[in-house]
Amino acid sequence: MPLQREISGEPIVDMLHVGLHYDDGPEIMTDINLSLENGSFHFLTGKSGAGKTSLLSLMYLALKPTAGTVTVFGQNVAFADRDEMALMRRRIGVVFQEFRLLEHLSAYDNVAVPLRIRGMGEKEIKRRVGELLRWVDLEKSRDKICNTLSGGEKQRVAIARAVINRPEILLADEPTGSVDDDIGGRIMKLFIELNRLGTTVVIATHSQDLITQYPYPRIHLENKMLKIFPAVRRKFDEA
Amino acid sequence: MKPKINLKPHMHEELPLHKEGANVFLKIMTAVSVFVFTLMFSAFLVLDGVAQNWREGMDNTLTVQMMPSEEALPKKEEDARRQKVLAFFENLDSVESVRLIPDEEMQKLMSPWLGAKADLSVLPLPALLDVKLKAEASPDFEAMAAELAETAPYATFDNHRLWLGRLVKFASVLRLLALIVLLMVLTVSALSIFYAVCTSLGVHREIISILHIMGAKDNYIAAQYARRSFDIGFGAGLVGMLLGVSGILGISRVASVLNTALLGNLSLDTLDWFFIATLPLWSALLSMITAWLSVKRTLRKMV
Ligand SMILES: Nc1ncnc2c1ncn2[C@@H]1O[C@H](COP(=O)(O)OP(=O)(O)OP(=O)(O)O)[C@@H](O)[C@H]1O
Ligand SMILES: [Mg+2]
Repeated sequence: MPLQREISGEPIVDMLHVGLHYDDGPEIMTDINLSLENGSFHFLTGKSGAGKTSLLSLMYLALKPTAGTVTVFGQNVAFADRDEMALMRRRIGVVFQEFRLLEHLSAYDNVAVPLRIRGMGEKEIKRRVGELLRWVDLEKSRDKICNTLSGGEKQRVAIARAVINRPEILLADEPTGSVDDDIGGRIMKLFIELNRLGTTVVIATHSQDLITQYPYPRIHLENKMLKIFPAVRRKFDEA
Repeated sequence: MKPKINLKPHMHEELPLHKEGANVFLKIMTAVSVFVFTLMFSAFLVLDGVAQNWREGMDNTLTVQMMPSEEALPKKEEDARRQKVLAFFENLDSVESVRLIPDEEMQKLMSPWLGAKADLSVLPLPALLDVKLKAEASPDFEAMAAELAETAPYATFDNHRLWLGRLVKFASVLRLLALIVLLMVLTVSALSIFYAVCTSLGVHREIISILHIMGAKDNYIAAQYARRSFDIGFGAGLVGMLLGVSGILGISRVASVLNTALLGNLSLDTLDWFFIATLPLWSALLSMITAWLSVKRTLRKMV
């Protein structure tokens, strides 16, 4: 079975002539064009400050482009009202670089947030969150308040929160930065599994290992521009 | 299957609103507002009752007396003076009929003092006018008196009416004042809630941004504020209402030594008490709605 689903039709994320700058700051991106096919898997690389987080923010609709158009799920972001944006965001899972957990809540409650936002019943939430916490090996820490967790534990909570609702798009910013290789491998397996089920994945990373280890193309940001490199490792090399 | 009741609904509150420092301020502010509201509301009702009482105390007739002039005038001129006052009252909108009390009647009225045979024409007795007011009229007696003084300075009407009229006016000014205080309390409370919400949204900007990115609508966030405000509005409202009721009871105990004949019935009726008892609920609802609208409005501007 191929890792990447063969999918035709409209791209799930489409960026056309996108430019971006923060308030009075300098341009971070100019004339970016990028189409992500539904079900694709990409790494996102670039030096620190190249704009990886910013590019992901455009995709998870936390930023609007200052030039050009961003289309997600076939909808032009510029024309979506607040509630439409909320509904689109529910279909996107995000792992933030600095986790951005709700520090006063337990690991369990953090992972439950996206489900509560959707108005899911507590019983179903308990089942789903329990299962996922087991998967990321956080069962013992489920009732610990987040600001008492270690960096690696926080990262796994952040990942669990991003995938709990089986998002259609998963955007992960350095998701394996604070965990050991063993857990890093598990996390990648989780992402690959989600991708196999149809989720479009973009992972921003500094890790050369990750890029060489997995057969996915790479979006590279440099000098406000974007290039796409094919996978380093070819698919049939996969063990 | 029995639905599981969440006994600690704030345990997983995403916005830690029930632990906010501003809550103490909001609680005190709400309690004080409801306390003042309770007192002012009952003051309003009581004043309304008192004014009503006084208004009813004024019957629908006026007695006008016209002093005879110092030097004896010919009968014709004396009649003209009387006619002038008669015309004055006849031309008033609030007057239904005016009747000059004829001399024979005067004679009868005076006979117990002066004897039936007395010749009134030699005495400088005032002439009397019986003025009947329209049933629904509530004329401005002050103005009427002033006007009459100008037209015919020798004529006056019973000043007990004037005095009652002044009291009624005073009561309605007080009532208006109570109403203004009520409105001010409401406005200040709403503004306090609005600014507390704005500050809180600023403090929790990061959490709100996270919730938004996870797909929370503004309503989801507004609901958390609404819930908090309802809780505070109800709890503090209950305290304020109980304090207010103690205040009313205290005041009415003091007031009971006053002349009830003058003030009339100072108590509130059952419906008024019922409304006062529901004040915590109103306070909760108003706090909730204010918070909800404030959040929605502020978030729309916050991006
Ligand atoms: N909120 C912000 N306000 C102003 N400037 C910002 C903001 N966020 C990022 N920038 C600027 O935008 C540029 C790109 O930042 P971004 O965080 O996207 O880079 P990055 O590739 O994710 O870096 P890193 O690998 O260190 O995470 C940087 O120059 C940064 O200073
Ligand atoms: Mg970054």
